[in-house]
Amino acid sequence: MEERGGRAGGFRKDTVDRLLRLHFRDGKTRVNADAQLLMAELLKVFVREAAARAARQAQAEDLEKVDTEQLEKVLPQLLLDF
Amino acid sequence: GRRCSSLQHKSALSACVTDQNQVKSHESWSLSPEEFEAWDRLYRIKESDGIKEPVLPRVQFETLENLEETPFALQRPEEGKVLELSLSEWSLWQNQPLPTSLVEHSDRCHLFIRAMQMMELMKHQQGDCSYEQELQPHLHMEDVNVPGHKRHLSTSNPP
Repeated sequence: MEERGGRAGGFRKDTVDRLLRLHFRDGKTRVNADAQLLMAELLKVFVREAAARAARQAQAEDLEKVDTEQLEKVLPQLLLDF
Repeated sequence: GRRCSSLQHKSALSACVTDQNQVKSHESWSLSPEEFEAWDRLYRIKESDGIKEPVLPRVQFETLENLEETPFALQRPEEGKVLELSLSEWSLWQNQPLPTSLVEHSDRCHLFIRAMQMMELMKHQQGDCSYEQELQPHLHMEDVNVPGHKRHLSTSNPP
């Protein structure tokens, strides 16, 4: 499953590590490699879920293109699920 | 090298990535030159697109002092240039579970949906509140702390 550079078909491990570290309060906080991979997977699931739900919303409205409006409609429940 | 102190805002990210690419070849966490080119061409929102940049609303506690750490406020983008995504504009859509893909709705999501249903039901109520009427027979005064004066609650409390 792991491709080049620890990239699990989505976010690279290094990218995830960097993103997390930008928000840690304690500079000494570290994330181990397994957790980085898991987090990369989680981020991918989050992105896919948002995209899929917004796409279904567009479908329900007979639209061919997903716009911000469809994302806004699914956003409250999406954020409550994560 | 230069560092991004925050990724709260897209322009911070793009500035950071641009720096990375211009100064030296990319680091393993950032976009490669090819990826950057693709992002710049296909996804990056440019002024000429005439689209407002979507941002999420920031957390604010009305009854608490706001936490001092608001890096977002420092780089608050110009008004009118961004589209703040609304969590309430489509509240009429929220009284039913919306379809899911891989992730099911959580308990608190269901609670939210039920609260929205309840509000929908009560919206047109006039006069007595049905929720109050439903619950009041079950009120035991010893369960509650009534500060100051006694409230005028008709309870089934024994004397």
